[in-house]
Amino acid sequence: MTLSRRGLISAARALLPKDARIFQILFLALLLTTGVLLRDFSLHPLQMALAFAAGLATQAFWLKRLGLEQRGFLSAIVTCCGLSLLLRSDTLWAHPLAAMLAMSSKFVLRIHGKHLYNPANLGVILAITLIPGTWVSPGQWGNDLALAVWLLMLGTIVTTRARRLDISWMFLGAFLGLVALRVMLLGQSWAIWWHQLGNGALLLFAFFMISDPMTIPNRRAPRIAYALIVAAAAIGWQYLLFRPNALIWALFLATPLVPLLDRLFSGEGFSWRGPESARSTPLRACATFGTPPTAVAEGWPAPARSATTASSSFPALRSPTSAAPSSRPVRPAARVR
Amino acid sequence: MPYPPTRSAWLFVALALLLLVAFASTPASAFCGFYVGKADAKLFNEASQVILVRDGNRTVISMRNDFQGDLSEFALVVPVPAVLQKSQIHIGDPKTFERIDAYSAPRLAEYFDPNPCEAFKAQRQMGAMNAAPASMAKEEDRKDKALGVTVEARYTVGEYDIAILSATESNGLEAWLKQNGYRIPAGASKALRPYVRQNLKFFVARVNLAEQAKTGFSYLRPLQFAFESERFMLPVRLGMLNAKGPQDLVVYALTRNGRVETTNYRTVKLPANVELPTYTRAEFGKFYKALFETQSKREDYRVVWTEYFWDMAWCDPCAADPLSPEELKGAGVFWLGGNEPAIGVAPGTARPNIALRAGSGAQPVMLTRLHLRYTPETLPEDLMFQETQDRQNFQARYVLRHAWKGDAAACDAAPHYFDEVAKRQEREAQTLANLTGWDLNQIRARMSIAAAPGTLWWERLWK
Repeated sequence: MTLSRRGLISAARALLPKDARIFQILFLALLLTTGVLLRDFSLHPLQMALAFAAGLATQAFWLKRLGLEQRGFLSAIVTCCGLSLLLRSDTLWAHPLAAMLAMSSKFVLRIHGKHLYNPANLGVILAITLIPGTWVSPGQWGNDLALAVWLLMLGTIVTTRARRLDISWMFLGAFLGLVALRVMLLGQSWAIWWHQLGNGALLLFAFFMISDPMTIPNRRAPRIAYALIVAAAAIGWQYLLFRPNALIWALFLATPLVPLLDRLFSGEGFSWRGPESARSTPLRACATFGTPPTAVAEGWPAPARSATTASSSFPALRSPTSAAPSSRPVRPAARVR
Repeated sequence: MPYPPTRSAWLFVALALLLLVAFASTPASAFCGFYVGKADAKLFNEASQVILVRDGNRTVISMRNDFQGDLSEFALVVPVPAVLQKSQIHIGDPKTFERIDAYSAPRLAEYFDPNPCEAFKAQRQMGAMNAAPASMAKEEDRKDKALGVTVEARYTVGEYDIAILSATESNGLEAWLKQNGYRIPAGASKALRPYVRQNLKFFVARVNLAEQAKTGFSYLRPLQFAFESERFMLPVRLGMLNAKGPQDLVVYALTRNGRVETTNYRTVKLPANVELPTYTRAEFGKFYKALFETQSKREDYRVVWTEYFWDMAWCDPCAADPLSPEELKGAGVFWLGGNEPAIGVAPGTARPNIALRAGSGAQPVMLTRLHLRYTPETLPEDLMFQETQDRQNFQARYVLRHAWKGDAAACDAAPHYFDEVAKRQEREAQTLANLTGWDLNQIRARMSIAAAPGTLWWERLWK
């Protein structure tokens, strides 16, 4: 009886996706639909379709070329959703071109077994700087608190599953903290702070872009430092340089710090399908540039999953100390006299 | 004394804003309706109008002063990024505002259905196209300094006495303004503080009555100023001090490359390019006011509406001729060479359906017309803008289609045509009701149509 109940629970758990990207895709698709239907996004369905076609084709090309066919398309879908949410163009070819560049960057720009840039972030920056007729509409979400609450909730679920929630909260805290500081220093109305808090673009960035586990430092301490750096850069861009699209520019400019932080604070790499698979391959094994290693690069499944980990569908937030594989010798519990 | 004290002064203030989004019709497709009417900014009595010209960090702002009342009470306070030289300040021509308003106003266009018995082909074509959618005493100086206010410069330009102030704290600035005869509304100090702390300067203008008399005009001409700043924004918050209820702002943004939109508020295209009942022809202004009010309310006054975005070289249909290079220069456009060919269509000629500037390729001037209705609560932060790379034209254009006035028995195609007309009219009634919030049954009554005949299958069954 007990056994069968346990069996049912684990069967139900097994049905839930183990990969945080599944949730990410669901939520991004929901946001995209909401944006197009309720927020007047000036996005043509064909632009979206072409972005997906080009993004997936590029992913397929690189997987085949590098002999990684089994590695799938989830990340490509996430990137195409991100590009569709952010990039606006009055041509049809900008989205697919940006998607191609974004996906290719994942296979070409690699350091220590990790791709360097968040593909959607790089795709958007390349598009608005190089492709004529493209832009980003940071005001497109409006400043709606209800929407903000939804984004917070959905974002929390995704980042919890991806075990990188710390960076989202730290970034939001730092950014809104700096906005609050500015409000106080300038003697502005607190309504401005609330206005920023309700900014859909800010929350989307915090939970769906900067939280991308593959392109942030592996260890918690440098990750938090990184969140602070991005937040400070974004504030500077927005309030000292008075330029638009502060968030995506700040992330783009700060990204080269990631490999540096990883080198200074060595730590365990990330795998989309749970901590165990990442553990199964030591980080050093993938410290190669250009050739995707076995288990560390994003979205690529671990070669084997142990029986004990197969049903852990909801890994808890893991601190480097508590969840890292213990290499310390086990202490005797007590000395018997 | 810098200014003679006036019995009272009014703080009419800074404004702002903006613009937006383009979608819609492709430049290549000709438009075959006839322009019949427009809804210009005069409809909105309290609307502030600003022309914002921007390229790189060079900015020219023109502010239209539709101040009603005793001119001695007029005052304008605008935060500016630096001390402006006299040569950076200019008096504009009010006609520029009228021209740019007329050119970009929401417009009504009408079609006449062809004879269904003869004109299948023509009708198809139309369907396809329809889719496109001084002397200061030292004593005074000392007092000013005690208030933390420095008068950086004073000029008389046209009918305005202008002072450029810098201030170290907002209470001092408020006191200075009061001592110098500006009656400041409650809360001014608080509203001025963020600008003081950002080290912005204050452009303060009032009317020099003697100079004003010399101009011979009964109205105030627009003030223009040119400066360089990284900030692409309009300080609207100051203008809310005297606000009673929602305020309207119309911003005409002139840029070189693309559409302008706000970065800290949503910028949305106004619902447009829809067919309306033909009776709307006589009351287009009323319709447009209702539409704007309804749509703004629906968005809780938190949206900046784009009413128009088009390359200045042409228009289709034209609510007014495009602005000539001279007129654009008058509006503050600084990047046009001096030798452009004259405008293609002379004013006063019969209004063309499509006007294209003579010798024009693309005129490197894009006009974005933004219209915003807001309250202090819904607009907590000054408007920040960006120029996008978007070049897809958009206009708030509404269409009337007149039915063919023939006999249902004229030919085999006629009964089917009249069925289609009845369906179309019902759709038009619903569109009008939805856009304006007007009562659907009253609309139907005005159109002399019955309530959605036969739309439900069981109604048809037991009729």
